[in-house]
Amino acid sequence: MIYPSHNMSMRTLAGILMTAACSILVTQPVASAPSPANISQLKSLETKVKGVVQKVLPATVSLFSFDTGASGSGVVVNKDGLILTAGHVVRGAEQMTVIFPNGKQATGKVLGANYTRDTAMVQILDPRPRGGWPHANVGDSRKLVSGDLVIALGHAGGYDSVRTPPVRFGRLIAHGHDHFLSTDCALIGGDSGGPLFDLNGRVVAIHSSIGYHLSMNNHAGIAGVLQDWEKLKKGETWGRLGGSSLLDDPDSPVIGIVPGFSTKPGVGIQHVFEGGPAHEAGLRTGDIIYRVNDRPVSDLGALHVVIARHEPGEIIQVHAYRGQNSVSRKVKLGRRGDIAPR
Amino acid sequence: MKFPAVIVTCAWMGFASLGLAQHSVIMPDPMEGLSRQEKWALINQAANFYNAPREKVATAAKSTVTLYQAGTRVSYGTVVRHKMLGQPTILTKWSEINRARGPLVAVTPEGKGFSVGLTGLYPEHDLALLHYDSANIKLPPLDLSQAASLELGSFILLAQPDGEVGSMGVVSVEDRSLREGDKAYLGVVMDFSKPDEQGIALKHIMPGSAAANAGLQQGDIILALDREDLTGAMEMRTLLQRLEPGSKVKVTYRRGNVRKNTTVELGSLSENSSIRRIPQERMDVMERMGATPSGRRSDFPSVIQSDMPMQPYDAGAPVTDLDGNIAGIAIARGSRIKSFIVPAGTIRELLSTHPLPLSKAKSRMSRMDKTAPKNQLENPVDQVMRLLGKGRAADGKNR
Repeated sequence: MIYPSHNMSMRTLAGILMTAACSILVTQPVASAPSPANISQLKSLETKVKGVVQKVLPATVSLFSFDTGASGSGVVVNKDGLILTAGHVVRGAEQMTVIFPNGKQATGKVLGANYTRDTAMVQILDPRPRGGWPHANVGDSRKLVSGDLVIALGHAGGYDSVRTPPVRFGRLIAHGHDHFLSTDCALIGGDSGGPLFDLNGRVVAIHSSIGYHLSMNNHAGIAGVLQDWEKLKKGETWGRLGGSSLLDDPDSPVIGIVPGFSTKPGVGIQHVFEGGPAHEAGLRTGDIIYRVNDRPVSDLGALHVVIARHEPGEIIQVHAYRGQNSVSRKVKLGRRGDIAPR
Repeated sequence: MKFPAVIVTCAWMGFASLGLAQHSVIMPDPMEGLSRQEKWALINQAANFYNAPREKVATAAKSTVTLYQAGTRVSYGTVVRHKMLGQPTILTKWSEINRARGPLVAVTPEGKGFSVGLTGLYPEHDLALLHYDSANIKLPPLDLSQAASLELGSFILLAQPDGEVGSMGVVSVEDRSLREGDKAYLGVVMDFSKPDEQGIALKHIMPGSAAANAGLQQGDIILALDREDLTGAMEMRTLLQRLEPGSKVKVTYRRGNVRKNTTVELGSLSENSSIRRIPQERMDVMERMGATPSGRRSDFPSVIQSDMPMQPYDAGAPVTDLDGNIAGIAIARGSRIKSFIVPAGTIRELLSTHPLPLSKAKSRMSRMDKTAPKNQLENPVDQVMRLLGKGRAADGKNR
């Protein structure tokens, strides 16, 4: 929510506003975002917000995985049941249980993920209901300017059967790198993967992470998803998560590598953390992991799935190509909170 | 006085807190990339949001007082009319004033200080009723007859005594109970592990529960509730928890190859057996990121949830909609993302019931009312007025 400062007096504000007025006079005005000058303009904004919420709330789903324990949010974007969510929500999961705000549930298949942009796709497998799944349309995050009003929905704190996903209202603060954007719609754990809407009810971003201030809520812009659309839909998984996601479970198992170049089949190791499980086991930068235990590792998504089936402290057998040779190492899984760089 | 200068401070605070926090996530300040004009546009926009609806809180603001203890602002209070009391009375947040910091002093919107005493409590709602010399202090009671009609996304405003909009938000979640005991309870452990299969297998039946009384057994497969086919265990839980304890529901189930029906009278959920959600330690950290939660912020029997960024010491103030109709009384900051408001309808109902007398309450306040502060040389009202005169009465945030 747009919020007031508690630190300055009215007189200071007058001074600041005067200065602001002067500086605007001598420079180019910026593209203007909606700013209510009176109560009737505020009321028409309110009407828009209420309309959007009513329209898109049924499409805001909760996602959780029994395999990984991950729980987050998502949004259905077409009548066939295609769901957009965050990369870190689907990590390690092949299937996710989809719960609609009315409690109806379905099974979703995890398609692809771009961890760098923290975006992913899930497809509902259940037969399409008559009239299609409740869904919201996709918009364009590049058109938003600082100050544009937005609405955030998400299953904050996880799915809660006695309430609908909480509505939050705010505005775009700034565009960030790689189509990320920040708003003052306050997010918390469980919101990850949930939708940010413009005032027309179109999905403009996916919730990704938070910072220590109320205006630090980060969302993966839909423009990045649109660029990656076909790859995500085909089920490709690539990229690397930043350390700032809402749901980086410190208790999840890791082997302590930075996965790098994509090889088919397999996952190349770009970097091995010193003292981490892979390092201790003798895996090296440049090795290409192609099998863990009895499971072939075709890509990064498959590697995460097989690791997520274990607990920190358990031992997995990692098979990798090293040049022309093949190596096999026992790796004792570590705990993300102890290993992953912050 | 508060006002919407917002973003400048946020940029600074962002940096400061990054330095302080151990778990800190390295995140660039989003303001950094903005031009000067863009920053000012954001500040002006926030100013407009808080100024445009000012006239709508004017009436409610006249019924609002600021409460002090030992010269420190602790909460707001709202003047209301109780059906069983002859004179107007003040409603405020109980846990904020029950900290035994000294006698309570209220200050009117015009800046006149007066002493108040405790009349009674509504402990479940964390509300206290205060009495004062209403013959000499004339304050208009809040008009609760015009309750706001709210829906998801409605804009709501916190009325400060000075007539400013103290905080603003939207309705995030409609009125609900936060008490586990208000959820209906069947008394079964459902098998969540097979979301693909038809029906929900019962892994265990709690002895003596509603399910046991209705004859349900381990291994039964639940197919429908009130003839409505179920899509899975989560839907079953959702439907049950949205019912009230004591209500009856028809359960259709399969035992072996036989389809059966039974009627269950639901009990009350006493323990939260939810599936793994967000790990609590991490939620605890996130709840405080950018917010100071109230001491008591859970277990309310009836609250509206809003994204209004109120402070704990804003509790007790009236909240209106954009027409100036009363939405309710602010009761707690829940976390980074939420504040709670006791709805106007609930307040109206409470004000026609007897409050819990002080003798039955665990109150540090009641003890203090009786024992006059011997070590205090200055009259507490004079103390607040002196501090206010010097602009030194501490805001709750400084305590």
